Amino acid sequence: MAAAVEITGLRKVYGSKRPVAAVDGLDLSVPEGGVFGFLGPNGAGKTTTIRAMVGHLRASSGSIQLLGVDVDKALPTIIDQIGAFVEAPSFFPGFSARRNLELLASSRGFARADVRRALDTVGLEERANDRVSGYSLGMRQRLGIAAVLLKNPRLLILDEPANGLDPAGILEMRNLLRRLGAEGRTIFVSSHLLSEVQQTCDRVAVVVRGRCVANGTVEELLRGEVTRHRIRIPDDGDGSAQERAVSTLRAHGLEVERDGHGGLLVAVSPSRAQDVTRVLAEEHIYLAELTPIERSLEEVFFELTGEPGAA
Amino acid sequence: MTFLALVATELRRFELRRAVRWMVVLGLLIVVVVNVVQLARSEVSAASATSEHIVQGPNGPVPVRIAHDAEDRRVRVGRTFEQTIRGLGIGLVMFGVLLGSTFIAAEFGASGLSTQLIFEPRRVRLYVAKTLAVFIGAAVSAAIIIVWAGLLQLLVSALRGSTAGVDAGWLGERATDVVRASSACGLGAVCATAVASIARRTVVAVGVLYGLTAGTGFLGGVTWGEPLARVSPMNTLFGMGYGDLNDPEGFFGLRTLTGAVTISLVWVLVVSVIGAWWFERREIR
Ligand SMILES: Nc1ncnc2c1ncn2[C@@H]1O[C@H](COP(=O)(O)OP(=O)(O)O)[C@@H](O)[C@H]1O
Ligand SMILES: [Mg+2]
Repeated sequence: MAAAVEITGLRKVYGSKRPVAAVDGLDLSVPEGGVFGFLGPNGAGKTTTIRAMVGHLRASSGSIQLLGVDVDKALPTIIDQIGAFVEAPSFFPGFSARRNLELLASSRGFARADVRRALDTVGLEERANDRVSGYSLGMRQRLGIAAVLLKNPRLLILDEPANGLDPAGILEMRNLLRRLGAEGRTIFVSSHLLSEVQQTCDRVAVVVRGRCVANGTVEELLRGEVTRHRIRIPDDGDGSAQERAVSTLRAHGLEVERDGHGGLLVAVSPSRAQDVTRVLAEEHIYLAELTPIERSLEEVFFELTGEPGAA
Repeated sequence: MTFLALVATELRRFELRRAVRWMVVLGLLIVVVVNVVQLARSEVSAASATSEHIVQGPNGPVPVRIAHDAEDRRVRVGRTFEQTIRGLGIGLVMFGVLLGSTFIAAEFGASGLSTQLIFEPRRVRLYVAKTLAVFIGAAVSAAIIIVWAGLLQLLVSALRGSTAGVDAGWLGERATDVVRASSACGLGAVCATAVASIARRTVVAVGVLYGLTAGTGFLGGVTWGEPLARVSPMNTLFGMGYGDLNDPEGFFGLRTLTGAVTISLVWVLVVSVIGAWWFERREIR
């Protein structure tokens, strides 16, 4: 099966005096079907990538294929299968939501029923006759989704759709995306919020400073290499056993630190975890607990981006 | 077929815009005011049908009484409407610039363009559709205003004037005038489309074209500038709107209607190609 999105060596430089490479050699492959998270801190180049994907700007170099078609040459041939919005979805503020959608629909020959259905799906039916200028950011975001759904698209490209939504809205959006993904569509959704991606997406790519630094299923990213274990030593009253354990491990060249909850963290991979038990046993120190520490997606993200989980 | 759907959609966008509707309503109201004034002044003046003059005779000053024909100030649509259309024709070019700038600056500014392009990514196609919609929209608006002016003038003539000369032949001639003046308005709006698609702000686009009008007037006043003023787009459009180019003083020596229309069309084509080219290359936010 062809990839829904295939990006190779994408580069986009803004400005000529002081050029900024917003996207700098991005490679990305998104399989068809499911929800794909395009994750990165603010300014990583997500929006720029999406703008290039939908033809809003021309890349400085590199190529983008959507649904097997080169965007530079033949975007119009597949546009009816692609729904997208970039940053805050833009609509004419003086018209109602319904009118905005009807105008978009009539330009491509979609029916009024499609408009009603789309408004209904995003829960805007009741406010559909109000002018968009009075809409909150969250309502505009929903309207953006409605415009996307108008086409009944095979590929959805959404730039931070959770922006401006309240917690209930975020939950609805999450469910909607999952449902659409389960219908066999491909949802390409960007976010700077890790929690969003973790709970919604099947696969994730992490982009930092215009490059893709990780790509895989959420489990794959989490699995990675376990590099630390937590150990617990039975309390001998004065804490001397723990002191001896620390110096013994250090003497054997292992990095140790206190976890602040009475345990120790040892930097060791699973294959060498037995060394820890052995060297301590030799000193007659016996472990009460030895657990590999799973990394959270926050930690992975932090490692990759140098920024805390919600950048 | 899909292109026609696109043009129809753009026309609907144009027609639905409040600013556009208000401007047309304002135009219709101005016409009403003018006709009310004409209604009040439409009469055969009876006062001072005679006047007294002192003439130097051989035996000193002699009073002489001269009788005048009564002055006929009645509105006669059959005679005056042609001139009304000429005047309107110039004003409507300015009106077209205003309409086109207002509509297009908003379209090519932030509001909704990004979304529109996801439905129609062929930008030149979208540009041409918008241009055609603006031409049709502005021309129809102009035609409505002119016909409204004609109907009111006919009413005033019937009430307190004379409708002499209004017949089928006259109607045919005026219909031709309406098409000419409305088209001038539409072409003015198309020029504004190109400028506004680049400037993306109504005031800038209107400023550029109204400024060009003033500039043309200035150029026309200096010897070396007159040939330039003659072919300036605003001048040729005004000439087309006015329609009577027999006066060598008017329109900086523009001679024929065909010439005015031809140069106008060349201008419209040139600025539209530039506008479309610019839009095709632009990065959309
Ligand atoms: N039109 C522009 N001109 C100049 N720099 C820009 C422009 N758009 C974005 N940038 C810069 O490019 C980088 C990436 O921006 P963007 O793609 O919006 O990131 P993200 O969507 O991941 O937050 C940022 O440093 C931003 O300042
Ligand atoms: Mg962004």
